[in-house]
Amino acid sequence: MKTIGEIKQVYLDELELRKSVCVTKATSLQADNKLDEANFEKIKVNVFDIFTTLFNASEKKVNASVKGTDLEKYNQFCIEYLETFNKIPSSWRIKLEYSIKNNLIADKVIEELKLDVADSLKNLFNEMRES
Amino acid sequence: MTEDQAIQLFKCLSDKSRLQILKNLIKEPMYVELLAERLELTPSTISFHLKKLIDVGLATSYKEQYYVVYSINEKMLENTILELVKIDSNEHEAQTEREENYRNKIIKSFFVMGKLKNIPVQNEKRKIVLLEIAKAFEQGKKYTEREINIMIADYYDDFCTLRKYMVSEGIFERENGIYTKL
Repeated sequence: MKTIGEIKQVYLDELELRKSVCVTKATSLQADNKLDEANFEKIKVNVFDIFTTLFNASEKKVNASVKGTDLEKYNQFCIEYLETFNKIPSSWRIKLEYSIKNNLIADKVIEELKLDVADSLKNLFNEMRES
Repeated sequence: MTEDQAIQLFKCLSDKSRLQILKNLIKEPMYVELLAERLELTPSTISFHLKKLIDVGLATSYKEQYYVVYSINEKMLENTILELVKIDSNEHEAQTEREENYRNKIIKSFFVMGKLKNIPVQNEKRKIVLLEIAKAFEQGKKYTEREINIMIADYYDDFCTLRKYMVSEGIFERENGIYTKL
C-alpha cells in the first residue's frame, strides 16, 4: 500500500471488525455472569479506540505538516503512527513491570492484555504496510 | 470476618468462572495450566481469578516441586450464608441515628410551642407523636380518666381521640376506668 487513504480503509475496517468481536464477546460474557472476563474484553475495545484515534491524529498531523507527494506523506505517516506503538504502551510496560515486581496479579493481567492488543495492531499495520 | 470481608466474599462468588474454578478445586487440588485447559481460559485469566479467590480466603496455594498447586479453603466454605449475614456491622448504629433524626423531624413539624398542631394521619408518624406525649406520664403509674384527659389536654384539645389512640397503640392499658402506662 502506498497511500494513507488505501491503508486507512483496510486497517481501520479490520480494527472495527476486531473491536466488534470484543464488544459481542463482552456482552455474552456479561450475560453469562463472567463479569471480569467481560471487563477484559472492554479493555481491549478501549485499546482499539485509542489506536483508531491515534491513526486519525497521525494522518491529520502529516497532512498538515508534510508538503510533498502522496508517497512522501505516506512514509512520514507510517513513521508517525508506528511511533505511537512505542510511545503510548510505554506507561503500560512500566505498570506491568511494577505489577510483576509487587505480585499484583489483576494489574499484571490487564497490562498484558493491553500490550498484547497493541502488539497485534502494530503487527497488523506492518503487514498491511508491506503488502 | 468483618462485614466488608463478607461483601468481598459475595462479590468474588458472583462470577461464573470463579465458581467453576472452585468446583474443580473441590474435586482435587490443581495447578493453573490444568484449570486453564479444563475451563478453556488463558492461564493468566485463571491466575487472575485464583488471586481473587485467595484474597477472600476461599482458596489457598502451596508449592509442589516446580508447580504452585491451588486448593480450596474448606474452613471458609463451611461458613453458612446465615453466619455471614449475621456478621456485626456499624450499620445498626447508623440506622438508629437515622431513626432518631426522623423522629425529631416529625416532632418538630407536628408540635408548636409544645402543643400538637394536628393528629398525624399516617400510623408511623402518629405513633411518634403519641410516644412524645406519653413521656409526660410515669411508667407503671395508675391514672384516672380525668387525670389522663387533663394531661393530654395540655397538648391537644381533642383529648378523647388522643387517649383512645394511646390505648389502641398499646401505650396505655385500660382496666375498670383506670389507665396504666406500659
